[in-house]
Amino acid sequence: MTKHNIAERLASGRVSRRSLLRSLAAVGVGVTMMPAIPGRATAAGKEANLFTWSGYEVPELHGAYKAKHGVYPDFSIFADEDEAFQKMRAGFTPDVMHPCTYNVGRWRDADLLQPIDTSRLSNWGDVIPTLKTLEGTQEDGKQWFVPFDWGNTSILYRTDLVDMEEESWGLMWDERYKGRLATFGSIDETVPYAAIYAGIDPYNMSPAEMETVRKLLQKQRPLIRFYAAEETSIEQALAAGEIVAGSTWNGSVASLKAQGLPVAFLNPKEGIMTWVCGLVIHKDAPNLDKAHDLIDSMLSVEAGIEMLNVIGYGHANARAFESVSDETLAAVGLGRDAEAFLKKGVFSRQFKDRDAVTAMFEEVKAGF
Amino acid sequence: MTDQSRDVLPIPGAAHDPRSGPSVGWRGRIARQPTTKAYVLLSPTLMLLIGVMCVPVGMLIAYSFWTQNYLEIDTTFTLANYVSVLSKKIYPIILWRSIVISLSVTVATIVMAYPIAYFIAFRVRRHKMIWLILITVPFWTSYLLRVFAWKVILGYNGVINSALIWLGVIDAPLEFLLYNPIAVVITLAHAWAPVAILPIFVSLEKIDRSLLEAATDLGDTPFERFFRVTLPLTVPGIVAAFLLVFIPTVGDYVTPQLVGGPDGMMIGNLMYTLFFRVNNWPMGSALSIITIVTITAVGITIWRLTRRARGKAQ
Repeated sequence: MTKHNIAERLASGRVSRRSLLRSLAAVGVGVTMMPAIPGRATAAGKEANLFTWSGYEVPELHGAYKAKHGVYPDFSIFADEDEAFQKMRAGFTPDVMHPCTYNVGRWRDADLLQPIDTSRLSNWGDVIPTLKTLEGTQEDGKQWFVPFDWGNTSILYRTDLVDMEEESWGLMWDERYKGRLATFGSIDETVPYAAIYAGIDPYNMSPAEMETVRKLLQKQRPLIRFYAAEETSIEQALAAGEIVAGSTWNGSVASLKAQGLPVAFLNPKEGIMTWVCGLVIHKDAPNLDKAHDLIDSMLSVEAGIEMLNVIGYGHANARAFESVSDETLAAVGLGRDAEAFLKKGVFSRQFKDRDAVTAMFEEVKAGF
Repeated sequence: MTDQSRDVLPIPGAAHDPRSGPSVGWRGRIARQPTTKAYVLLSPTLMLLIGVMCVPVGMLIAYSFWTQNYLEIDTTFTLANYVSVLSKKIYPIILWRSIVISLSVTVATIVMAYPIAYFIAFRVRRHKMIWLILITVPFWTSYLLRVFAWKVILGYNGVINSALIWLGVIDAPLEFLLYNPIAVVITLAHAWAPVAILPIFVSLEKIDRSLLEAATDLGDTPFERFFRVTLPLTVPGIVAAFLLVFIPTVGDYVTPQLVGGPDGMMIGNLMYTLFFRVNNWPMGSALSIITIVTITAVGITIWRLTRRARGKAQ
């Protein structure tokens, strides 16, 4: 009985060169064949790959793409833009990404983007004009960023648990609610409102101003139950009553009100924060045509209706607003006029010295 | 008898004709050394280890001497990162906190694991293997899910709070259960318990039962017998469990991130921040190297301190 026991033969030295080479060749062929095994999804798949925040992979936003190509696009999710940035710098290559305006410059400098050919977007004509020309989105006469959604960052609070006289960012420093507050852990959401509360322009801080903001954030820290990484933890904590107020976006208003909870979205007297996020195309996008189709599909009216009615953020397509009522918009704190909306608040921009702000906030969070 | 047409590897021990080919002379002598044989056998694993461990650690060391300029890496050799890490208060203090949390986790884990291992080693007569497998089965599930499970148990509306409210013991949910270092210690101790049970079980199994009989015959109560015979003989297992639990938990990221809250941040979270948020890979690498060196130092200290106790157990 011949037993082909390679290990035994190897140990006793009875392997001939021919049979060893044959086994190694088999291993090599097997390893090379592995990518050819069907059913393995990679970023360079056949469908356009959308790299986006969680919550945007719902099928209702991509109906037009499915109608044209028969399947939904692929999705990759990131929790925040810094993580997305590092992942792409390490080599991940999606087709379309979903950053906000303040990151477009940084991503372009890092050689991650290519301009978008707006002539291939059938819905480009319907996009709200103000949103087409936001700062940082156009360079060399080309369009690097297509706006998709816009909204506010503000505080969502339980009206039954909070005693609110005058709406102000000071709610997040109210000692009465010690241990019952939560805020985002990322600098783009939390540091600006601390600066706004102190009357400072968050995006052009001098070292002295940064010191003021640092002290303010340090004063806030004992009141914070946790620094959240995503809005769902804040929503769940609000629903449970674990926290009475948390910083979040309009989408959370929609989802909590849908659950019947008594919540309100703060409109602070110092100025609410506004943001516009949208779509960019990766420089080495493997499916360029499908990338444009994906962007076009997300700009369509049906995607807009889903965004406005269900998800709760503004949409870039002006025609989508025609089928939405004023009450629905007011419930989440949006308006019909995007230009007036953006003028009213403090628009989210890139920090002058982003790495310094990050280092400062991480130190505050750690307790220093 | 001598088949020169056969191509044979110069692996020592091969029954081939030594009159020709690379098996003659100094190369042949090297080929026949036992160490060469060992290295050839080990080479697939060695390649994997070198590729997966040595190369990345080498890159870490290289990065730690460079600096980050917005999006580029400046490759001039500099010690600035190490100076920065050691001089800013935040890094040594968080590293110290991580070590303290980790030591608490290790002690808690060993204290909880010892009775379980003792039970399986001494009280279970048959099917010990099945008991061991059943006890380690939770360890095979996703680590992230286990941490989330603790979040559910310790949470505001979680299992503990709901049960206590239902029993009428408290009126409002306890807030101190979650989002602090205690939650981190509880979660980590539970997650790493099986890792501590196994080495302690092995050393308990190895105890010569006749020694225990002798102790009883000489008049020891079970209590005294445990402390004078059983426990000292299991010191190697305890030390192994200690190192196996302590070393990985110092750098843990997931647990402090999910249940630690603002006060429960550990060194792993700081490394994540440096690499992924601040985008300062050189500083992150310097912090990683310093952490590795510190953990190694603590591990060696424990090893040395218990040398005498382990020697007595042998």
